[in-house]
Amino acid sequence: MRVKESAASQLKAPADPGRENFPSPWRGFVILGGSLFLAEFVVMICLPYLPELKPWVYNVADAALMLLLASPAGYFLVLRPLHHHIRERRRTEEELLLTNEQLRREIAVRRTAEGELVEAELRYRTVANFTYDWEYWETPEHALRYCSPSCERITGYSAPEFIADPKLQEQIIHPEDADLWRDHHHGALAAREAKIAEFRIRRKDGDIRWVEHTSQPVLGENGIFLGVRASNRDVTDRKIKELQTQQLRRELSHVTRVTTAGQLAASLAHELNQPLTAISCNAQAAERFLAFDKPELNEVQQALKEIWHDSQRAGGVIRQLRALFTKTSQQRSVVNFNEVIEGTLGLLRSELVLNGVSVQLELAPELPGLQGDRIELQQVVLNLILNALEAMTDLPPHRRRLRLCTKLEKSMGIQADFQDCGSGIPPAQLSRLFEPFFTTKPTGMGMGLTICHSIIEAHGGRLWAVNNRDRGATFHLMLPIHQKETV
Amino acid sequence: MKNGAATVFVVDDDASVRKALARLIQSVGLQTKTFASAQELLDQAPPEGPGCIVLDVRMPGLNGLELQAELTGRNIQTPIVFITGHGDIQMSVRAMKSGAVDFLIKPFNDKELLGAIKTAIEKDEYFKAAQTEHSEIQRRHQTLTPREREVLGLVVKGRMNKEIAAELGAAEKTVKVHRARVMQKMQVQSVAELVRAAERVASLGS
Ligand SMILES: Nc1ncnc2c1ncn2[C@@H]1O[C@H](COP(=O)(O)OP(=O)(O)O)[C@@H](O)[C@H]1O
Ligand SMILES: [Mg+2]
Repeated sequence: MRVKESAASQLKAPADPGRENFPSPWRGFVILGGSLFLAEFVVMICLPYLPELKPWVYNVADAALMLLLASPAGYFLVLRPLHHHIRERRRTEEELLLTNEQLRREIAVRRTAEGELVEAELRYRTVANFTYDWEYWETPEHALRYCSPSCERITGYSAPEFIADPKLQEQIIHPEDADLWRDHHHGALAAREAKIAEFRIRRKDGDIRWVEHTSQPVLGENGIFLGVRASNRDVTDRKIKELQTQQLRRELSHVTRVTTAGQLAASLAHELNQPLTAISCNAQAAERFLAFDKPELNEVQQALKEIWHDSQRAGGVIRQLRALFTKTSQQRSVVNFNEVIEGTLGLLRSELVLNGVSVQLELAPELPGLQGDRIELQQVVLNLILNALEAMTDLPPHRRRLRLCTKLEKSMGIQADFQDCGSGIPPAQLSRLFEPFFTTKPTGMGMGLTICHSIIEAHGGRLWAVNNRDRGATFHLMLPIHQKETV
Repeated sequence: MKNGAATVFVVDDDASVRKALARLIQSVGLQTKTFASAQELLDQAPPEGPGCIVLDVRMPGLNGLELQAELTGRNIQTPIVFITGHGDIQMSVRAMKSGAVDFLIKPFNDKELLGAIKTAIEKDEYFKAAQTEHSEIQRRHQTLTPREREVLGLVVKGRMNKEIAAELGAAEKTVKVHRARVMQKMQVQSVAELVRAAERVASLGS
């Protein structure tokens, strides 16, 4: 073994064994087993220093390469080949760099995430705070979790006022719409699906406003119900226009109804005459049966029963007739469309008989009720049937056939078809039918279909006409069952 | 009312009117048969005994006036009392011209209706009696021999026995015997009666 530098400088004994007194290694080239390599040397005075070698020794392989040379003076010479150490270091450094890089990247990612979060929050809040519509989020406990400042524009009350008093929202609802609101509100909380309602509110300054209110359940992860998100839009202007149009439409439909009633006067008189005739015959018969030596009480009883029945029938005709003459109330009710058709047919019975029209009635056995104006819907049915009759006047009576059918279209609502075998509609006129004053009849007014159309539209439905394959035309009518809750 | 065996046919498409009419008519001891349409009535064999038809003008399918025409076409002479919901003069004139007994406007009182029904049934009884008489004369006429028919023909023309004998180339005595046989067979007492019976036979086209 040849050592380039003397190890003599190392050969001094430290005061006591310990980490701080651990001798600093020195380097030198070592020839071992015929090969030259760099190594570090430590000379230790005594064995107690051995544990202190630990940090120096990277692994078992290192240890195996270490050479412990005991000198006669009791010193140890510890020798560690350095090529191995260099390789280790390099690897460690690389690992470190890699870890460092990873860390940097992670930090960067975190930074952007945080930034985005802050930005998103800012953005949403800005959007929410600047929404034109009044937005709020009501918790399942009926507290307001958020209320957009735009509430002030619509209601006159500020967001803090709403948040401080959870009852305020309900208090500003117009008393006439209170029930509607309650139903809607309960519905929205219970049904947990999007719902729309229109109602009036009283502003802080006392003004009345129309609000279109859409609410949607807020569901957290795992479908946990977190309350209701609502959006309120001030639709006062639209509503006023709508009400004005409705008013106009009502007046117009009233006028045409009265006209129709005039046209039907003879038929209606007949319809009233039937039960009256029956009543009078029964009454006179009963009188005679009573005057018998042995009164025929069975017959009398039967006669009285029928008198009652026919008086009801006469009352029904009068009610229908009155319906034609009255202006409609604005109140909507639950209407069964089959009943509307049957009622109208009752009114038209003798008109149909006189014209020799046979009616094929195919009503869906169980039709759900729809929200609507019974009188107006009856007018639609009346107009459509009268048009069909008028379209069939060129046919010999026994060939005049009218088919009325109702069915439930699952998703769409109620469909009703009015199918005649009359003249049909020239294709060029199909698009003009519903125009005001469009008529092909010498004494026609051309308002019938216009009014039908507007009534059906006001009910959220559709009305359209098609020509039949063989003969005549069919008017189709579609009415939704679930409608926007309106007053 | 005396026409106890008579039957009144009620045709009205309105069930309650039909039933009430029937009850009122039954209350004076008449029988009724009800029909919901003209066709239902036509599908029935014509009534045997005396009767009349109470008929609504307006009905789906065949209306009252059309039914009247159809019955006339089938040589069914049962008298008709029309009832109608509204006073259509044109219609009532047509109905009356075609031989209707009455044309009543609903609602009518019982006296009007029952009076009209009474008249109609009497008319039918009279008509039916006349018809029976006709067929009886016809039957009697058929029993005459050709020679007797010749004699009858000349008697009706107002010829004296002598003239008849000359015309037929027979003895006056023989003519007298024929004449007596004819009177006997035709069941008449006088020449005047014989003439009337002969006229009926002629009007029946034999
Ligand atoms: N069922 C039908 N068949 C054929 N044409 C029809 C039918 N219904 C309506 N029409 C056409 O539409 C036009 C407008 O009808 P409407 O608005 O009811 O007015 P009017 O009945 O007074 O003419 C009618 O003049 C006719 O030409
Ligand atoms: Mg019309």
